[in-house]
Amino acid sequence: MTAIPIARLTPLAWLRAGPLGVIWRSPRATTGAVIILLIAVLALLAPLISSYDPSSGAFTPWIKPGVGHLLGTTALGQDIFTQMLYGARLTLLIGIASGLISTAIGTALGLTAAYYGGRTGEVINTVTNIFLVLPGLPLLIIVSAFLRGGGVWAIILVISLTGWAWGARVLRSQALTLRNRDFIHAAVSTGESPARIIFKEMLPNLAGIIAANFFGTALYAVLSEAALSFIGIGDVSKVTWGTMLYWAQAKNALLQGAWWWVGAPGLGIAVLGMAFAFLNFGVDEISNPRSNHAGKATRVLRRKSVPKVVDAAGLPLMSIQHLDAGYVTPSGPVRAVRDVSLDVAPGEFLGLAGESGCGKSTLAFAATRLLDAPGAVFGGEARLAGQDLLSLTPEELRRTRWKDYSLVFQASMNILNPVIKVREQVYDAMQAHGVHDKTKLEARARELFELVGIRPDYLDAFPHQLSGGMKQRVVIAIALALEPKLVVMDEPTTALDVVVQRQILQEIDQVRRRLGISIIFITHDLSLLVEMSDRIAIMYAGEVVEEAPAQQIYTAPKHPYTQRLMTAFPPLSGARERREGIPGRPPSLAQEIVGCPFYERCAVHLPGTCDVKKPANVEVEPGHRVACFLQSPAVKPAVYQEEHDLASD
Amino acid sequence: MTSPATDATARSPQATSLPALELGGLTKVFVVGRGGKKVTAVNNVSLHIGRGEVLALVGESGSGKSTIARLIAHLHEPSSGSMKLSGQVVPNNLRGAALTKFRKHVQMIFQDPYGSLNGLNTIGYILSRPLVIHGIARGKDIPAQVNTLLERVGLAPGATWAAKKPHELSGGQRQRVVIARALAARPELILADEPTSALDVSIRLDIMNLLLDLKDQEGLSMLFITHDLAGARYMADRVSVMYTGYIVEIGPSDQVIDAPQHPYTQLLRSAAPKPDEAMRPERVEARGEVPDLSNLPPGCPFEPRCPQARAACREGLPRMYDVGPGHQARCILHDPALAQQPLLHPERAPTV
Amino acid sequence: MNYLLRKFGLLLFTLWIAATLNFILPRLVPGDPVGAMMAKYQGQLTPAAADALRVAYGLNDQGSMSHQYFIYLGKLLRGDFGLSISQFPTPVIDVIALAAPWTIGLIGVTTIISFLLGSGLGLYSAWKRGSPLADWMPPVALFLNSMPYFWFALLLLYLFALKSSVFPLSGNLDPFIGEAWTAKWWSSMLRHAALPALTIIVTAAGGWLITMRNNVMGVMGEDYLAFARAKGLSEGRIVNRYVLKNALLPSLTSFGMALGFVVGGSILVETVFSYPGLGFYLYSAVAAVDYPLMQAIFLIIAAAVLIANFIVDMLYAVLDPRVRDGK
Repeated sequence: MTAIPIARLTPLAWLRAGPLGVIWRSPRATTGAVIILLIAVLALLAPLISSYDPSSGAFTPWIKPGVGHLLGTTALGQDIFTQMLYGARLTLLIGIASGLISTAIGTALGLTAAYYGGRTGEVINTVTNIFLVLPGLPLLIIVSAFLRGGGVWAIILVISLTGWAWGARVLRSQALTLRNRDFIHAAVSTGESPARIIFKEMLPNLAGIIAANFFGTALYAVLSEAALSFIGIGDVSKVTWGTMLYWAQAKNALLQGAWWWVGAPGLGIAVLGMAFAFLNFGVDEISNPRSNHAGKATRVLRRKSVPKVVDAAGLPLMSIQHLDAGYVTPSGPVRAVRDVSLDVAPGEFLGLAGESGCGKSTLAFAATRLLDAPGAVFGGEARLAGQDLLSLTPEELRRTRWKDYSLVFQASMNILNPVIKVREQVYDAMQAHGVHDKTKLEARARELFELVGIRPDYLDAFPHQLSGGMKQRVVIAIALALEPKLVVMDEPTTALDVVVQRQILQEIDQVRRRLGISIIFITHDLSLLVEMSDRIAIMYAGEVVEEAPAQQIYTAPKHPYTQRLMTAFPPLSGARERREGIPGRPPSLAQEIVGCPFYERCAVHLPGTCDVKKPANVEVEPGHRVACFLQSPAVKPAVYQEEHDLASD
Repeated sequence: MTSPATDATARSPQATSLPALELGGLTKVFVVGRGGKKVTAVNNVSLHIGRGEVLALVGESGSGKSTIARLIAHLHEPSSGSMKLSGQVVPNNLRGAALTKFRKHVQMIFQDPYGSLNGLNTIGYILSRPLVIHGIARGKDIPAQVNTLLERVGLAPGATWAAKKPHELSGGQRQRVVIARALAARPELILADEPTSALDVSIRLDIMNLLLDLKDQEGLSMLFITHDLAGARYMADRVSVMYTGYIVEIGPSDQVIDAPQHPYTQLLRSAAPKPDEAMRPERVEARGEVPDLSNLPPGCPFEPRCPQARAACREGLPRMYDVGPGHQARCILHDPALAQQPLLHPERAPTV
Repeated sequence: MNYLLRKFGLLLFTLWIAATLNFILPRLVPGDPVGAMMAKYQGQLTPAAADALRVAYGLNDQGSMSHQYFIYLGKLLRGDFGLSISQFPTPVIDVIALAAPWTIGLIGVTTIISFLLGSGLGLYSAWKRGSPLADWMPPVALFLNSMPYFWFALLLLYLFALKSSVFPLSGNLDPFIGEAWTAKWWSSMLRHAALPALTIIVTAAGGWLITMRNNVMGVMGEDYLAFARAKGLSEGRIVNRYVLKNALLPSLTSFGMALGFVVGGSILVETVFSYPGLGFYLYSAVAAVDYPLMQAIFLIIAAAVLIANFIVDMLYAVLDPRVRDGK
């Protein structure tokens, strides 16, 4: 999809603001950080805030919270507010120190396991799994029981030693993915040392995960300390929020009705824990952005109302008129499709070509209302047999889609649901549109599979038992299930090998001729498109710059961009001569483009004309439309000739 | 203008001296999964790359072509076989300083320029590393060298580009940086693993031309890995076609691609897009898909899909037959006696 | 089946590690654990009990360490954990036999309920993202999950047993309840279990909610979901067959791994409500320095968690066709 250039930046963007930047990008993580900072400041300034001693029992026992004692007093006559302030010190220390130590252990082991793999990796992996499944608290309890009297650091150590495994596991799987990234291979083949690769190349890329892991283990440590103190293991003479609970329980605070003695430290722990959890959750959410295909229908943000249905007689099967679509981003809208008009005749194979980011997929997905948020349609119409798809309610759309038109997505590993059988995934498309008879479903499914060249017994396979090519055939079979009039195919064979690609293209060609369906076929591979299509539309920077019958666009392209594209791939036969690509890159779609979008890269542009106003889309021959001033009757042909001579010198 | 590839060979002064790279029976067996299942990704591959020559390695995914590059670069250790670099034996189990020294001579270019540059580092840092590691530049010289490198791959002025981070660059620009990194160590051999397939069509030729120009200027030898026959034809002096870990055909590129002698190469050729012919008349008889590497047929690995298969194809792996000057194919059809055998699958034969 | 055999191997191996840890720990402690206990009981420990303790630790055994170790393992296999010190001379195994059913009943049932409840809410929270209710769920869940279990237990105890006597203060049954499984018995059992159960369900469900929510959001980015939506499937079908089935798988893995943590937290709830299960006895054993009981309970809890984990692994194999094919 066209959104990729934007999505690709997101994981890196936070680093521009430094390692801590990740926290401020999530409101939730920010809340967590503020709470922890607040607790830390209160703990550090405890002597300034309260003049009492946390352990001296100088006051009347069992005083209720009030003006003199904000949180009341204990059975021993200690001020609970003061205890809370001082207790926060050790509680925080235990949380942060244990978090740091176990994160360090987990990170070191996880990275080592991932980097070296093999036997070392297996051993670390097994140890990690064992520590993961052993029940943590009971283990903590018996270890601490034997280490009784070891003081705060013994507690920190024990908590760290039982709490590292989760982090090691997460780190290992993330680092394994990273280990197989090409920039690590590149560093290895450049001759970098393992230490430098681990610390300089891998570790910074894992910062988000490590941070999330630290906050997670800090939460675990705070809760573990509370639990250990509560059952009286550890040094109960020290003031922590955990030991406060121990004393409250030991002195039967609740039986005495002193709910505040129990309430305050517990709430403190819960809030501190929540702050750590917020940080963990927020950092994780930002470091692993997830896309979302769950929306019901693409948002349509156009202003004026258009007739929902017009008379289909005399209209092309699919008619896209002045479509504007793109993405709503925090820094303003990105207009990926700009005022595009395109028709598809019944039975026609229309090829849609262009570079990545030119808006071809956005066009197809917007017109069919499948563009996920933040994508949206800004204006225009998309009519299928007279009906405006952009006016349909989500339910109407659900009923129309697949029956009147269907889609074939780019081949991918996960295009089919991995946990249910292929049969169900073929059936459910038909069931959703009213076919429920079992024998009919079975017969149709077999028929479809034969149509696309797969043995029908694969109906009972699970997707992972199919090769990439077979999966894509299944997808095409599903797309044909309800005999739609139009199938939109978005790079359906790009990820496949040449031979399989050719097999599938042949099936598509046969099927569409036999069934008389129209196809919109999107690809960046022009040579393939020329061979397959009846008509081709070339997109550049969100606009259709040229549109013509396939052979004509190949033999006599009119737009300078098309002309360059047609010689921009090496030929399989003929003279072996040097050819040139197209230097430069397309303009950013986030800005307004004045004039011709190809101006910058065009060798024959007319300064003063092409960069000032938009070229009109004119029909130069029947069925051949071009948006270029050189083809416009308003501009003298002589100018074109002159420029052309200059360029070819 | 003449052919970019053949032209280059003619100009190369040392074309007749020791080959830049020689592989003898290179084999790699991977153990996959916990069941200890063995997969031979590269099977007894022997080939050579002459000085200043481009050899293209063509095949589908799973053919072992990328694994060969990784074996040569010592990213994986070969299971067996030998390797010579400029006539010198390179042990399979290189370690430590010897390995670092070896890496100076052989550099890789990766497929995906979005994945092969660490997004957290600047271009300048990325390019400085090979200079530092291999002692090519020190201290204050480094920025100047980095700038020169960038300008040589068409990113001028170098200082501006060196300060950028990868996400500020387009795919084509990133790939130029990747090429600059490979050049930095001043290697003799470049292993280019599908360097253009992740790029937009409009810039693929630019990158290929850049590689060809640099090769000419530096006298580099190159292994060019691709799945695209037309790209191989454009880039390479010779082409080697791989299938399931075996070389099935090898020879001068105009011969292998214009007149393929192995049924698999013929299949690849007929499957490639040909814009000048409408597709309707030609119907490719391409049955099935690449077999599971852990479960290869006993004879010729292509036999199950081959329209020309004979009984002899099932009786062990065919040897390489000479089919022209410097041109060999692993197919029994080139044995006049065996080619007489009747077709196993007459129904698959092309209906001419 | 390869996958399950491997998992079973890991189960046995981990059990063996836990048992060995149990053997090593008392020997690592500076000084003599029996001496420590003698000191603690200040002469109240009868010579018979002290002997029993020595026997329990194999400290009377003058043989080599490895000899002691194999004797220890042999005893474990026979279920001989020695004698409890705090309830001398009851065999530890009898104490456990009495307590275990209550713990397994309480924690087993509540863990499953909280998993189902939390996962259901997590699914809702992710699927309906953007609606006020769904967006309020994660922070609330994070808070509930960050509360110490025992503290929330104390609060419930205070509100529903002390301030108003809706539920009993402690124990598992009313005294003199008579025969088990009668209506009277059930009502008493359920009333006693209500507060502990509520504690565990409320505090644990938050964690499952967050896990499930993350998994569902992962599935919502998958290509098959975009395809399912394009096909025009009904909302219910997408959720049931596409989202839930896929999101539950990683949730199950987390379930297995978090089980140890949840069970650990839950056992403290028993101490608050004096619910006579393993957690309660573990607490008493710690307080009374009853090492044999303490260690046996640790082993039993570890074994229970490991077996539960293995059951989850089996369930995973049933639900995920890829695992069945060893992929």
